[in-house]
Amino acid sequence: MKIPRLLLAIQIVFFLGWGGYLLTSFQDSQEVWLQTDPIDPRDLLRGHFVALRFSTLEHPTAQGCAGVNTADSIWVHLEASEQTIQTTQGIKGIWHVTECAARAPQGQTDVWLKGQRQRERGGYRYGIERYFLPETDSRRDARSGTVIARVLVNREHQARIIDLVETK
Amino acid sequence: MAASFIILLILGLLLYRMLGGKSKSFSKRLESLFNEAEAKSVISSQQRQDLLTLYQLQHSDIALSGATWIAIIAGLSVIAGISLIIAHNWEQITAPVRIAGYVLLLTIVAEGYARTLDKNRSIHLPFEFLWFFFPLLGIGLYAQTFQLSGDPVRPYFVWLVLASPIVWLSRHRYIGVLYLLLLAILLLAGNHSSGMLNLETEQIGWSGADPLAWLFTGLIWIAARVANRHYLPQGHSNYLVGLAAIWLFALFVGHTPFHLGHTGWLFVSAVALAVLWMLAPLFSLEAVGLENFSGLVVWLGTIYSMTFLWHGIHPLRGGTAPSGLYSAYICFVAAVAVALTAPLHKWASDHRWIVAIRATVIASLLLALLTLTESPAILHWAAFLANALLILAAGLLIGYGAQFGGQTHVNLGVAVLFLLLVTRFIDVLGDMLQSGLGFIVAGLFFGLLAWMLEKVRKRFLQARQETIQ
Repeated sequence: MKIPRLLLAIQIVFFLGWGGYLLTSFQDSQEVWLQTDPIDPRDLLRGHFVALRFSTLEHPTAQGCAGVNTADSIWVHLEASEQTIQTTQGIKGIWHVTECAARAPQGQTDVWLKGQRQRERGGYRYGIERYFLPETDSRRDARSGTVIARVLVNREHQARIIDLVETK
Repeated sequence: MAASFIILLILGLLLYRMLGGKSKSFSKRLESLFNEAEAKSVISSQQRQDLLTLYQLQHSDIALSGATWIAIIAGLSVIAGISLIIAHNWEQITAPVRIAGYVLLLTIVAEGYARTLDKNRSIHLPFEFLWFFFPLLGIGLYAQTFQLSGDPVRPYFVWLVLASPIVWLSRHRYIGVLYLLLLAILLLAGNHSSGMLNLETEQIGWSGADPLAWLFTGLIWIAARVANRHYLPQGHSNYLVGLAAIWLFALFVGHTPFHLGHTGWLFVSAVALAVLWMLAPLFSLEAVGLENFSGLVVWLGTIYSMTFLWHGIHPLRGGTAPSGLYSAYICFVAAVAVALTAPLHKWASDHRWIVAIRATVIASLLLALLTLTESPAILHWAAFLANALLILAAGLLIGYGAQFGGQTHVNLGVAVLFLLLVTRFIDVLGDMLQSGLGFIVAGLFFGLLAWMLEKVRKRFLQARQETIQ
């Protein structure tokens, strides 16, 4: 009886610890808006989602990106551009990659996003490539150019997508 | 939502069963009757106990009265209602509430597991399976709630780590076998797809290989070995050897540091790995007669694939990694060594049979070496010899079955002959099948073939029966 309860305690600590981290890790984060192309839906484990492709993040072409585009990890610098898009939530300024680095930027307050290299197909992944939606949500059928992503970036340069907003 | 409904339903039924919902009033009345009978000296104490034991044995299944069924339907309706309310308001349920709900359900399942440890297997096993899958459910819930994407393999890896103690505690083979199967899927899928276990590289060789992916792959192999020893001892080492053979061959085919960019070497490694799969487990077998059929079928399959060399060989793109080539050498040498030294007396007591089996296996390995050439003439010879070798192997199987093994060997031998003859018929006369006459000829051929093979099969099985008598 003791061992199963010890195991249960370990699992509870794991799930509460992970849940606590996920609840708090984006408290002081910067909100950015990124242009995205929806590609296709569904995941057996987690339910319905829209798969997203961030072309400018996947293969960044800004200053210094060519020199680091074979590294396993990449840090891309994001800056609000003058490009704006009319959405259902008002006019939003789109953020663009302005610089790449092969090492984590130290002591910088700007928005840097960490990406992980995709070995089998090249390019980088940022953990924001899926957005889960209810079964009946119209955004599941979104097409390229019709949605933009609202993303939070925390101090550890991690990103979390929090909304997918339709453009007008 | 359907999954949560099913889980709630199972939980409800289990709790009902745990709380003794099985015709409780009747069994209590029966017990009371026996107690009274004993008090009035109608039956002895021993007889009372025997009668109660007999009743429990006869009614160990779930026996539900009409009232109980109504209660179950009522319970189901309530559960369905709760599920629908949750589903309808899912987006309104905040992350902390979802986490708390999940932890509560996890606790109920684990507590149910702990409390039923010494109960009947039919009660305990469902709790064990539920708890085994619950961490995966939690990971999926968190991923959906917090919009976690990224590595598609990591959730499954973490799940199997979290669930491993449940497997270790289990006394049921099902869960061990399921765990082994999941580890095998994780290895074969994870090593060749995007994620933490990806062993593929963009360039030939070790440049760009991920050391952590190799480390985690090693850990999965250790877990598979431990689970195999714990749940499938003795004659089941062939499953692990088979998994290793498939895994290595996938490394040779995939763009890993072991990639073989040469069709011939792929044939050599396939035959060598099949021989190892078929014969290596013999060293650890203690009981005579536990034949490794999966390895045998794969070995026959590799020879069958060589019969198509008649049509030439397709050159592969990309180079061969040195590690892959050295590994193929090692596999080949190991297969020859195993073929020469395998304790075949565990299969057949007759020395002539042992020599015949050994010679056939070694011949298959030598035949595979012919695929290393690019000469069409030699490849034609290799195809011809592969056909001959397959006929010989089928003959040996039928003969062996008639003398020692029984029906399965005879059937397998006949199936191999049938497959080979049908393949060659379509190979040679396939063009004729465009005409009506061609179909008539094909039908007559297959009918004759089926009749002859069935006759052969029956004759050998009869011979086997006579030997036994």
